[in-house]
Amino acid sequence: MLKKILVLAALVAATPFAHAADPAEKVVRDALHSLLPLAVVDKVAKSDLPGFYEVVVSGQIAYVSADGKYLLQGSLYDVAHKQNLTDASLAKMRAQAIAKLPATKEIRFDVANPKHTVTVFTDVDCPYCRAFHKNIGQFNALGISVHYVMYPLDIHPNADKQAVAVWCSPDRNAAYTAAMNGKDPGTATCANPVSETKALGIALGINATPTVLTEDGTSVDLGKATSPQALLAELDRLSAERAKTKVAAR
Amino acid sequence: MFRFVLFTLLAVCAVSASAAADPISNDPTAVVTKALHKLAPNAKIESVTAAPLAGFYAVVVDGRPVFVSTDGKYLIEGHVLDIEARRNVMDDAMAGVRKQALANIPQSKRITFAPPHPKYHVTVFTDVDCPYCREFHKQIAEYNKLGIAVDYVLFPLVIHPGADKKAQTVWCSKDRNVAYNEAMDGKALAPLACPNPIAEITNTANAIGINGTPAIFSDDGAQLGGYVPPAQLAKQLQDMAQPQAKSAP
Repeated sequence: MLKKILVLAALVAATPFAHAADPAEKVVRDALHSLLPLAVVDKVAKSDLPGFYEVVVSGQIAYVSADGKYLLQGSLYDVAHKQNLTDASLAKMRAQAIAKLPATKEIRFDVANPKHTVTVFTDVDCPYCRAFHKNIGQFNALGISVHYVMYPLDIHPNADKQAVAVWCSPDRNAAYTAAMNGKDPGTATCANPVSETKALGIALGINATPTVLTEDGTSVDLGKATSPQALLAELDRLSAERAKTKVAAR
Repeated sequence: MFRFVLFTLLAVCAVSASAAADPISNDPTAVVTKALHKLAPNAKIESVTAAPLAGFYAVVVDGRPVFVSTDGKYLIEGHVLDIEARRNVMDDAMAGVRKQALANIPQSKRITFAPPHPKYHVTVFTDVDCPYCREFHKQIAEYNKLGIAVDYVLFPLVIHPGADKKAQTVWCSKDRNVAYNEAMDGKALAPLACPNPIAEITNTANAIGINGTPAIFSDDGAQLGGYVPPAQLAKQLQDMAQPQAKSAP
């Protein structure tokens, strides 16, 4: 996609009628900078909403008017398709990012021919992450592959060291399960992706653990997944909904 | 009101339908109603006004503000920040609706505690069984001394079982102010019943999105709290009375 844009930009630049860059984009960036001088702006792109740019700042999606006067934060709905475009953008951004995460940066509990694969941002010291992992055997038995991404929260002192210790154990999966059962993972260190996955989580607007994402980046409401069977049902429902939206969009 | 406008428009359209392709779509209420009912079939639209943002209507629906694009294609829920003024303009539409709703509550449906020459006036949605409403009322003399006239309207919350009966008892007492004082002191009053405005106040509260007590409003519809101590409330009211001083650089 990026390559396409670059090629296109090069072609456009070669024509005498070309504009160097979209001037409104600079207006939008300047407006964001005046509001949030320290914020890192990850993305500025034309939004579906005419006259607005979609921006991503610290994992949050917002919309800025092309004249730089207004910032919309919340949810933007496409009325005709009854779709929350903000959620859809967030999911897309997350889906692209997790698709790029290699096995070497996750702790995977995989099954052969999974019905669903979920990516779970997890913290060794978070009680709900522990409760979630208690059912890992059942998730797998139901055909759900679980890919854990280490995302130690700042509110849990030492959770980052524990995540590293789990990562640096000879058998990561066994060490993760043991740590989730309350065993002290020790203090082993080694080269690890924890700070990288943590930065990724922040950039994707993940603000709690466990955050369970489907392959299309939708965050699963764990209130609807109170048991392994309920999680499977919710994943089935979400993928059916996705199939429907695709048909509708055609 | 809006229904009235809509009916009038329909009547007009009936005679001039051939003149334009789709005359209804130019009517803000019709556009907004069609869009909102697509997303939420039972949504109750309370007001439609022009938004500060070109291309949008500011809409209050079920006690909440949203913006709807004038073509009815998009809806925005959340905050709309005026970047230069650092102000959420989404709230402005609420203030207009609140102002009107408050103005529609007659004096005869309020319990008033006022000083002889009030400088300011607030309406407070209150619940006899809410601890911060009691805390507020403990200091009623102090609010009055600072020149603040307080009009209570009774809004018993459903989370406090029996609060509605107590509110009714206060209302049906011979001296409502005395009964309110006693109820806020925690005194158990012998239950009374009579026609009362509690259901009506509750409807108003729901329509303007009040979901907690105390809820303090100025006459122009701005929400000042939550519980706010006397000196701070006086300061807020004073600042509001002199907006030019506040906006000076």
